[in-house]
Amino acid sequence: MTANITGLLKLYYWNMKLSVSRSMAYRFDFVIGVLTSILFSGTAPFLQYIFFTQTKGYPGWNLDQIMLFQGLLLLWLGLRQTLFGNVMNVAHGLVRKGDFDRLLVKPYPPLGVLLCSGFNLKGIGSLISGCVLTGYAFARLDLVPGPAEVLLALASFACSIVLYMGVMTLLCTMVIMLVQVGRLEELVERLLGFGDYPINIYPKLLQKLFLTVFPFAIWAYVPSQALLDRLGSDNATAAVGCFAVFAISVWIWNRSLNRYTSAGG
Amino acid sequence: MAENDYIINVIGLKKAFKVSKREEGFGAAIKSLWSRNHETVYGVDGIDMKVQRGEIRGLIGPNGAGKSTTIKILSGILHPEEGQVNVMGYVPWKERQKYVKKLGVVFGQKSQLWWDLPPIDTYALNREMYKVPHKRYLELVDYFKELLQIGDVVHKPVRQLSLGERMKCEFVCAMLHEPELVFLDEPTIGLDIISKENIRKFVKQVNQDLRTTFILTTHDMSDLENLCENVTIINKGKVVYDNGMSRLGHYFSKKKLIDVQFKEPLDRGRLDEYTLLSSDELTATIELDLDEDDLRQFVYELLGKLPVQDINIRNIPIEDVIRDIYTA
Repeated sequence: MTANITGLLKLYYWNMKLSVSRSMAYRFDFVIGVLTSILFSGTAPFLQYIFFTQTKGYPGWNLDQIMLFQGLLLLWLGLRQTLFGNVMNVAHGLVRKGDFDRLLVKPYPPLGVLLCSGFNLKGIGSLISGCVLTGYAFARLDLVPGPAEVLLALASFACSIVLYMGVMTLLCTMVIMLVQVGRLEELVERLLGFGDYPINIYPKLLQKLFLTVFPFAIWAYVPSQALLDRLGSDNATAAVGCFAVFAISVWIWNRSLNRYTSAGG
Repeated sequence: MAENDYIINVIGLKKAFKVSKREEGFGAAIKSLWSRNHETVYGVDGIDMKVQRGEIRGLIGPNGAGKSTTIKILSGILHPEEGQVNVMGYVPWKERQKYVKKLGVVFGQKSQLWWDLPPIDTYALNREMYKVPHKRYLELVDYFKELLQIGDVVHKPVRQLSLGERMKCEFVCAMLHEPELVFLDEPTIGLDIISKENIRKFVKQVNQDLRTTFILTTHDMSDLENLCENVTIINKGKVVYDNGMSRLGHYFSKKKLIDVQFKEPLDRGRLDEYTLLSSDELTATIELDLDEDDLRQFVYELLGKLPVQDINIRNIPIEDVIRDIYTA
């Protein structure tokens, strides 16, 4: 198990190196991609700013706090795009060309190989914007979080990665087994979008859901609460939920893989 | 021969697929939304097969015969319903991860090279995947580069390579971890005659140098004739021939083909008494059944009856033998 994880981390590193080399082969596309990403990632905080200043805002959040939330959200979106932005492209490519069998003749778990092929340098734009905005919000809030708060925020990012791997696993299972999943991916994206807002704007039932079964609050809400030193104990369920989603998705993947029939040829 | 001399040992292998069936028409398409009929089809229906270590075995059959399914089960990709499979001491689908470390696969129509990068970068990735010691990796890359004459090629982006160059690089990719067994799925498809020759030379050389066992699926008979001593023919999920290539050549030993060239244009009516495979005014190919006619007598009479300028007697081509087996 440990050997498997170490092997997969090394594989991820190698895939990342090749992915960077490939991006460098198309330098113009890479530069344009990063610039566009920085430009567009700035629109969401700007819209939030307009919304916040023109309305009553979100209950329990002032402008600087919401800026921190937006900064962390951008940071997360950039991180997930960088780490796993290519996974669905690879999955679609494998299915379209009937190449999924190739993963099964590699000495690794096929799901691991798929997730390890996810590195996408284009996410770096959002990552940079997120860092800048978070830094700015820290300065505005005059925030000096203690080590415990920082650790909690980092732990919630780690849980976010686990959760996102679970979501990717479910989507890949559907793409590979059903081939045509049409707009299901779009639906999942919309669902994930619920985590892009502070969850206290939702009704109580949804708040519970986003902290347990669909713990999307873990992306930005939980780490910002941690850094603002107002994390409640109920937020711990979100971390458990992330691992549960991942475990269930891996179980579904393995069951589907045993029933995999490949394509003709 | 001792059992452990066999690298592959397959007994009674069966694999069923559930195939959905639908009536023709729009109504049936709508109905299929909530109700579908399924039929169970055996893609592989009781295959027995043994392959010796160090052999280059041809595995052929018409499209849909079950050879790809067999290869996929042997690679650990598919789980069979019935049967025993032992490859290099492993049950492939149960011990897949360990087993594939000793396995190489080349798909003629699919690439494992990174399209935008030079092959040497993919080799480095494979080195990491298969944990090939760095020194050995460098030795092998040099060995393969020399053998395939791809010294410069491995440093150019894959998208700039010709199909022949790319296939050579694919082979290196599949061989870098020194697999004991390699599945070659139509490795010469689409290649020109020179590239085919190079690939065949490479397979032969590696087979000799590293004692690698190759299982070759192909529709190109010259691949079989040049590389394989033994061939297994699969049709409708069953093994219909499992023996030497040379014996395949004698499959129709009681039949001969006689190519005749005439001195002058000939009236077709004069050939009516013969079994003709093809003919025009100046040439004819006649099939002769040795159970019914004596070859010497037949040729003697032919020379007497017709204005023959040249004559050539040959066996039935291997392609025709295989076609006959496929359609049996």
